[in-house]
Amino acid sequence: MQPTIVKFGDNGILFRWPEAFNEETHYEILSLDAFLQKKYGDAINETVLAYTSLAAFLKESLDTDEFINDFEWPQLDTVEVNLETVTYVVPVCYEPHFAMDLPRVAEHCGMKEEEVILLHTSVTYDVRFIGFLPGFPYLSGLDRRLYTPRIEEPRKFIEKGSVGIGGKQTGIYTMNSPGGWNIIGKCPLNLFDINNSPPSLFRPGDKLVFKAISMEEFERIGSLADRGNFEIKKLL
Amino acid sequence: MIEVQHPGIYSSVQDLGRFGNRRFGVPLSGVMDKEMAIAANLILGNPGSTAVLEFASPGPRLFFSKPAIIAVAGAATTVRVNGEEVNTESPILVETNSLISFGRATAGVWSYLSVKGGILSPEVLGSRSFFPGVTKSGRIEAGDILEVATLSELSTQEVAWGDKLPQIEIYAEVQVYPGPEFSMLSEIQKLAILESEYEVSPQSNRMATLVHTSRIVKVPEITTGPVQPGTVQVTPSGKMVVLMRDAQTTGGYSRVLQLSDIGFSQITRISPGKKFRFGLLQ
Repeated sequence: MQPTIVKFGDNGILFRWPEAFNEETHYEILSLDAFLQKKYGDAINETVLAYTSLAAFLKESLDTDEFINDFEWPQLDTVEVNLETVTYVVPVCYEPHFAMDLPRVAEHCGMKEEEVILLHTSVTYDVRFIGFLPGFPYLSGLDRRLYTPRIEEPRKFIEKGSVGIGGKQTGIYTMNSPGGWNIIGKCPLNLFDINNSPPSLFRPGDKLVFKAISMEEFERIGSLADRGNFEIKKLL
Repeated sequence: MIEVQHPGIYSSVQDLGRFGNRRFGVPLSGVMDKEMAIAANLILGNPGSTAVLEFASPGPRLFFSKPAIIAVAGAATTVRVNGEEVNTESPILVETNSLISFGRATAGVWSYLSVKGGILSPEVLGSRSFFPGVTKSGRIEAGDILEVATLSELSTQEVAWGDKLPQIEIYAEVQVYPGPEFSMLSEIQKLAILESEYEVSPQSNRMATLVHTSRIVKVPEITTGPVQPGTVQVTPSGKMVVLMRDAQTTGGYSRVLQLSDIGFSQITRISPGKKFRFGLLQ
């Protein structure tokens, strides 16, 4: 389905798909992004992806209206997306020390805490896009049975690495931040690192699975990761 | 080099922004008032994109251990060198071991201190702009050392000693375009948004300018989508937020308006408590 195109400020362009989110839209956004980089790489400073839209920010010297008028639409279903889709295995410690809201989630969902962990670790999640915080992956795929409303008073401080459930979403806080999601565990990795290129481990189009680890493993992986000596496992 | 003796209330090193990493959730950052920051650079013969020190009032107290040429543009403020007030209309020669301090801003919000050759704080992901979590800190702190370019005879000749810096102009109207969700508003909501008088909240910062009005419009949330500096969001409870340079890259509130680049500079100059309206461009 072809998106609509509108001007978004002096240098911005917004491509929008119908709001109902589906697999096809996700793929078309990735396709359009690849097309823009290939065909209009010289004109575009950068793009920002989201669930059902994509923003492109043009070089300041260009005329945005002209760019929109002259824009040549690709056949999105024929654009080759050269995505090395990586599936990462993300270690998470779900022990009570890191999982202050696990009892609340279990109670809301009418199941045992172990069942919450089991469901959370038995799905392959899609990284739709990165936003909210540097490196923060917006994931889809959370099991419906784990949908839990956000906490009423957002906390002023959530520690980096915390894994949470907020409504229909789950994700990892990649930096210390305020936040309103239910915290059910913690990941010992540095998912955003300015010394890496790109600085974010996850890219739109990647996939990930969560793997439950013990406190001991959390400590071990954490100290390796802080010295840059932990290689995250990838599934082929 | 510059030693920070007192950081002031809200001071940071900024250039024109950190481009190319917004797709990874890294905010654009960069100076709030581009026009004034660029003017402060150009008068010294610096490229407009050179990193400057941005500060709100009350400003910082800075010790220069080496000679430098500086310019101060933006919010109207007095500048003192070793306690003596100096003329701020043109570039200022700062001698070895000088203490620079600033008076209260009498018009505008953000001031810019440029240094001939630039402030050389570390470049991270292609920019020297401070942002917490990306650079060491979001603001300068007492005791910080800011490296600056060494002054040479040649570079001294590039300074436009005779030129005058532009004075800050404050506007009561801020230029905007319709935002992505503007067309989804009712005619009554559109009128209310465009005709209301707004007041800037003192809680505003480099992430967002909060604005108050008596005519509350409530707009439902959207599926999380891209936002940028200058995006005007309205929340379901009727709060209006104008995103600034350190804003996140995506957001779930309705994007009713989008400031033009000129409109963005205009809103950065409006002090808390002062009133303004939006002026729609088509």
